[in-house]
Amino acid sequence: MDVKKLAESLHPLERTVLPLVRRMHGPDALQKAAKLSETEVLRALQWLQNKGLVRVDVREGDVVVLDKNGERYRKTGLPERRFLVALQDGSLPLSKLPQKAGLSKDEANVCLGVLRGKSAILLTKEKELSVALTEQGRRMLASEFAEEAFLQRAFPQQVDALAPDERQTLDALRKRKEIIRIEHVRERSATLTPMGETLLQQGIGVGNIIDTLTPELLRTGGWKGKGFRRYDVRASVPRITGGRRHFVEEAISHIRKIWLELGFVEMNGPLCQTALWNLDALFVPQDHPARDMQDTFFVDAKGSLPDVAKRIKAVHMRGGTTGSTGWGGDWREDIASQTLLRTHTTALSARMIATLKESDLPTKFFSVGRVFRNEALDWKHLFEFHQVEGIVVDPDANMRHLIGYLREFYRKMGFDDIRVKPSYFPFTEPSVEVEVFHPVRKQWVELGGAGIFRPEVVVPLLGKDVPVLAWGQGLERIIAEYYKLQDLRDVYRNDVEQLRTIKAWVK
Amino acid sequence: MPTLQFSHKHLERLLGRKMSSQQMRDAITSLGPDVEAVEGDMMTVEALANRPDMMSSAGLARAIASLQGIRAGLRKYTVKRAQHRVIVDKSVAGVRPYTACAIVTGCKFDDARLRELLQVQEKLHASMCRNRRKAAIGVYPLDAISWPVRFEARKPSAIKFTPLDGGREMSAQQIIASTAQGQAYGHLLEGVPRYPVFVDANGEILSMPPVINSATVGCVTTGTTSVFIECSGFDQTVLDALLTIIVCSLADEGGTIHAVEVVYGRSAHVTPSVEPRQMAFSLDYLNKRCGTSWKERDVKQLLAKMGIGYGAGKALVPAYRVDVLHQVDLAEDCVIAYGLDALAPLRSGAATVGGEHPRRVFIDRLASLLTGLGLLELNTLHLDSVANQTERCAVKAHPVPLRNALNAEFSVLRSWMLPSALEVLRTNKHNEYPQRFFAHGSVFARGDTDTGVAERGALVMLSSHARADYTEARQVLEYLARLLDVELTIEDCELPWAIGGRAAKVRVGKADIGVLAEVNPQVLSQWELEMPVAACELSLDALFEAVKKK
Repeated sequence: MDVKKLAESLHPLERTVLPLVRRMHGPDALQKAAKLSETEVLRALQWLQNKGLVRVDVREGDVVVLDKNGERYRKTGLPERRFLVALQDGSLPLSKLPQKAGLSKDEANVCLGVLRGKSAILLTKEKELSVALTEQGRRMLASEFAEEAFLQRAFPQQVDALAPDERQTLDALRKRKEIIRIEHVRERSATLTPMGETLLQQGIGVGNIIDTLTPELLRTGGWKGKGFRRYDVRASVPRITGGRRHFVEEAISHIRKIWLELGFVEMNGPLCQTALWNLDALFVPQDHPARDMQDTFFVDAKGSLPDVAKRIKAVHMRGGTTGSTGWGGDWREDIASQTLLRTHTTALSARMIATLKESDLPTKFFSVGRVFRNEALDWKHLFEFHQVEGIVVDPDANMRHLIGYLREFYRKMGFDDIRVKPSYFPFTEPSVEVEVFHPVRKQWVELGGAGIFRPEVVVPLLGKDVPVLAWGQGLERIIAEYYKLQDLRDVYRNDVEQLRTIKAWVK
Repeated sequence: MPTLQFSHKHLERLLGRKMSSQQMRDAITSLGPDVEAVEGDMMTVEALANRPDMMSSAGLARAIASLQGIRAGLRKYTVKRAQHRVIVDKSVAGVRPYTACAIVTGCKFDDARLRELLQVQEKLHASMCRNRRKAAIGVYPLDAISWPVRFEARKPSAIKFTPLDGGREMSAQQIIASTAQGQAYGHLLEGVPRYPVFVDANGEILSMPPVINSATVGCVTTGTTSVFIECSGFDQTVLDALLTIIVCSLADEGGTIHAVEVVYGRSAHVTPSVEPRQMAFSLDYLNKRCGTSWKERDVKQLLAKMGIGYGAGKALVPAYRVDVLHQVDLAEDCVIAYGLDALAPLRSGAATVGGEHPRRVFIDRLASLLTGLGLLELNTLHLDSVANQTERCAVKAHPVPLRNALNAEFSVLRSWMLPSALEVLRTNKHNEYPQRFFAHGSVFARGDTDTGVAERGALVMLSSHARADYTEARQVLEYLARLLDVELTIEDCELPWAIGGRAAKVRVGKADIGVLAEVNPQVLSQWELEMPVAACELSLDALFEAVKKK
């Protein structure tokens, strides 16, 4: 980027800081001079460095700082100085010395040892112990101690910058109590690069660059003859998130559209059903394992039976008018009137068929609905999930149509090739399992079930045996596969981050 | 899915033909069951609930032999005349009223066949016998039995024998309390004053159905060649069919079937019956159902491949085919015999017009308005805990409970949606705020419906961030009302979960359709929330009704 474009791209913070870097280098000084906060200065320096206009060096090292006693001694003098000063008018009893010198007993004792070592004082014993200055002591009193000179320096003081004799003084002071401390610091120092210097010389056009286009500028025409600050258009910007539908709803919308395009009418109905609609109407024998407590959630509520229950009962026991043998044995109303959470959307299909008249045929229905199974929650089992299901009630439909419908449906779902194999469901005959050829995995995958409702199902509901083609499958497996979720629980975790960021259902 | 273990070599022996592993696999799957694994000689095969006759090697081989044309057509089984009697005492009437019995001689039980006999019993018990609730099977070495055998019910205190694997003589109570079988099936005799037993002429107890056999006269071992088989239970038809399945398999393994006379008071019932059932089978019905134009000759051939006889509109269904209830079942057999792959798909000629459910259209409309406001849709569960639904929200209520909940966490049908949404806030405290959500779903209460439960659609909307308040929730509500052209009235109210003076009822006309409030800090702290929450819950159904009236 040429220097001119570079000048135009400077942010107001950069404009403020850059000229100052000529004169000062530390962030503290820059902060004061620019009247900016620390973060603003640091951000400006970072951007300027990115643009190659400023070099920011970070120096790390040890510095000397004054400690508690250091601060005090700097003002009031070192204890040994005060010790000597107290003696300059003649000897004193040792007991009176701390008071006169303004020292604590400990300090006085330390000084006593140190000054005796330097032969600056003499101890004499008359009535009591007395101290007096020696010649050496008077000389010391007249001169400045190295330690005193050190304490008068500016702090913090870089350790590296000290002369060898100053180092000795430093070591001596470090041994003493809370006079100085060594700290490890990182220091930033900004300097102009040659390009920064060039840019400053050419001028950064402070008044001629507009940072933000405001309504005011538009109204007044104040933008005329000025340039706009250039952005770094490739720089990353903060993330935003938005309101959106749950991804399961997106998948449901997609599948609903497929059914609608195929001419199916949508069904909707309660999640609570009596066993009659969920099981008996579908010719599931009353002692079938599906009725076990381990498979179905039973609701603590009392259900009741509609008139059609009589015909369903007859079919179960002896086949009614269907020509079937029925299941034999007994059929109990109390079992059929149990309330449960529907285990499949086929309960809706049964209810729908029961409302149809001859003149409604042929007709097609579908549902995408929530179902329940009494299963412990784990990575491949949910106790609430969705089922996708369709029925075709058509006096002229047959098994070959069923396979035809399956082909059309699964082609729209994205699977060009399907095959069916024999299977078993209590309510369909023939019953088949649908496998699709998975275009990515390159193998046959079992996806759904299909069949033609048994006469034992259709006759009590509709009054005559009309073929009802039916097929369906679970929804969550398709969703988990699309989103590559290994754990089915992730489909209903309601993790806000996941809901905000998971890709849109595009199919 | 229950599975069965079969030996490839043994199936070959029964088929009288060598087959590759793949050929065997294809032969089995074309009948329906999946082959789930093959390890050496052993194959793991799915057990189809409707085909108990294919739960033994012999039964499976029989079906394969027919379908593969190795031995097609109806198989004839012969039963030798009864020489022994089982006398059913009237004491079993209220306990376990029926039995069907047979004798099979000439069996060759080696280790593999014994294991299979156990597997067949176990799988039949689990499926057709409904875990022995409906029926139970007993097999005994014939040589140990003195005839006639009596089937009677005795006081538990009068029952003493050495049960299989029991090691010593025990009383009925001890057997139920201390043997594995007793613990598994003893509950089936609960509350019954007398327990059923089979006893031979010497007074030896053969077994105490449906629990366990005797170790002395009820234990088949290698070297046993002749067995007595009884099925006991509550439905003579089921017992007869069950017995037929077992004896036909043993006959296919080389055994000879002998009848037993089962005496109920003055009437005698000779079992087993291996005679095929005659069933009318209409060509027209078949072709209409399958979309085919098969002729008599085709049907005869197709049914032969399923082991079923046919002639002049009548099918002869083997007695072991308990799944054939209606001619539609024969139609399916024809399709399987023909091959589903060979059935050419047809495009439907039925032109129908598709249509969305209006309620679904309404939900989509609401969702597009709310997402436009930046709300994120949740998908919450309909099962919840009592605590979440009530005390955690400072509410007293009685949500409809499940009778068989998995655990306390999911033990009731939710009566409102706000707890579901608060739970989402609770588990997302680490995520960025503001958090603004909506969710639709069903809520439940007791009611005058066919299920005793009144179910209605609900919509919850809530916002949580440092400055979430009543005004924000009210703004969202009014935005919806304005764009849906519904006239709402807002009236103040007190809600136990809301801040006093910041809660309102939402009405359409005179009907309450929901509430709107700032959640109070006590409730927030019960949900461990540290951000203000403003919420609105509406009856989706009532709102929809109001919109439709416009």
